[in-house]
Amino acid sequence: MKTRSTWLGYLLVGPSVLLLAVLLFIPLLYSLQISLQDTDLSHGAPKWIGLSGYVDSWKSGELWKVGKHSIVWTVCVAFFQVVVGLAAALMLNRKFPLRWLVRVLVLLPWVLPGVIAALTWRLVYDSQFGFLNSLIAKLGFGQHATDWLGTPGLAMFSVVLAAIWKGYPFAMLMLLAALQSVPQDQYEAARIDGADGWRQFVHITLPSISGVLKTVVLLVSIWTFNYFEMIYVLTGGGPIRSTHIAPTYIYELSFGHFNFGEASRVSVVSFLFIFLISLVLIRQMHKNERNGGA
Amino acid sequence: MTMKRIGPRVLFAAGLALLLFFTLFPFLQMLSTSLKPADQLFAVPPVWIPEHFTLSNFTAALHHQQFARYFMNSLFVSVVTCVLVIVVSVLAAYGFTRLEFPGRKFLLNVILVSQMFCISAIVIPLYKIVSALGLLNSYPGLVLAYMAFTVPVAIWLLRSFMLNIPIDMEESAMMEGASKLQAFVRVVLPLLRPGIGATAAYVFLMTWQEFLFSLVFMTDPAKRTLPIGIMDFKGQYETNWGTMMAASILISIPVFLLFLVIQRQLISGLTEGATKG
Repeated sequence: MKTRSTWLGYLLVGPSVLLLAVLLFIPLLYSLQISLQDTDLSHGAPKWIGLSGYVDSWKSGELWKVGKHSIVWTVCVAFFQVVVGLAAALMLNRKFPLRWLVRVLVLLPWVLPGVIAALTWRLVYDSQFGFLNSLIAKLGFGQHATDWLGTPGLAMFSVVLAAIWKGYPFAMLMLLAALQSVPQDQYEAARIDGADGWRQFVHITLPSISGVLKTVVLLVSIWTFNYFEMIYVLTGGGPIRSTHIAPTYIYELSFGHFNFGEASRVSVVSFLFIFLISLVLIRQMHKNERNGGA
Repeated sequence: MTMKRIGPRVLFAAGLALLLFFTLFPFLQMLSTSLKPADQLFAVPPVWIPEHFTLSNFTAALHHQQFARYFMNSLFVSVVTCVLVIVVSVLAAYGFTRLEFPGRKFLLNVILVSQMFCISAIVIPLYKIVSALGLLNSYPGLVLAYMAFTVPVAIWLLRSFMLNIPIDMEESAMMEGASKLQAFVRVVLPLLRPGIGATAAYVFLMTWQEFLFSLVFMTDPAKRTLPIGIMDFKGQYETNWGTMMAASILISIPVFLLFLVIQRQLISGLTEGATKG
């Protein structure tokens, strides 16, 4: 039984709530306020322009372009992180020699600090010294000096691949833990009923791990959307702005051009976007919980 | 053995090999580059396994004037953040799991939702607030920012660890005359210790590698943390990849060891937090 204690409860929970209010919620409102101002340095002193700033940002097209990149980036990276993570978890859940070692090795990318991962990939993608071009040569596809990060059309693919590599072990870890808690007798029963591997996966494995799977999708999507340093280090948003996502664009606007108003408009829009997506996903999760009787 | 049994095995081995290759390929370049002597660093096409190995890149990284300073800065910021976050979050997790008060559900949801916060959405206002307070280039400013996005995760983890500790144990201690505080210190805290360890380590890992806030808040080179400091090796015209990769390895080793120690605890906290949301 929980003890009823109002004042002690507020006393204990108070510091964290206060901290988050001051550091997250008030800044968010402040962001909203800045977003209603015209802070373009070439227009002189900042002035209040209300919502018309949003209309102008929309019309200029840059917001939509960055939004599109953000969506492509988030969806591709999160989707493949979860798919690769699930495939890896299924493999590592089987018994094979030296499994412990493989389990440790596949964690390396996730534990590696983000900047270092990005710097390493920068080297891998280097047109001259990078191992990727030399791998292609070794595989017999001929000597190329492909500039993986400097070619418009190719750069987005390159940053996405690097980000999948960086984050898939997290999905793997969580899903592996979930797989290990699936009761084995269910599989026995299914085998007796003659269900093949695929059927067992769809009817037993997937439903049992769906709670964790949804959480993973939610977390991975949010992290990816916010993932700044990979793109900042690899391409800085280029070439010809083909890989700018919301965080790098916000950084460039605010700390490159000191246009805090425009940057705040991008912030507010991305906040709303993330918020709505999370709401939908969390709703899904709760629905599941009620059905599961938990 | 029939084909039917061999087929899946080959497929499995191939899948595993592919996964390992994908995972380790960048590390191959990292390690190879860090061990290459200067004359082989800029060979085109690059040599995968250098003919001679040298540790000179590692000594160069360690002798870089600022490396030790960045390391200490990072260590200081991460440890202070860890301690503060744990204190605040243990209190809150106890309040949320053991007490009933009006608004409990609502406040818990607020905290869980703040994990969904878009970090890039608050970097500008936080920068403005911190600079208005004169806290730019100061550790308190950076620590505060780090607390903003680690406290929600820490509460989430600690709450799920605490839910696993049966409440009866405290009740029986209190029946024997212990106060609530005594029951907490004598019964809950010892059982919670592995959970606290895992949470602290996770917070440490997050702050140790944080990039955006450190980049924006710490403009004074002497106050930089490691993730920003390592960009020093990326010279203006030419990057010294040998030293940079050596430094990268040096920075990553402690993190990796720490992670190995806490792995099991952390995963159980994260997955249970996910199902008991």
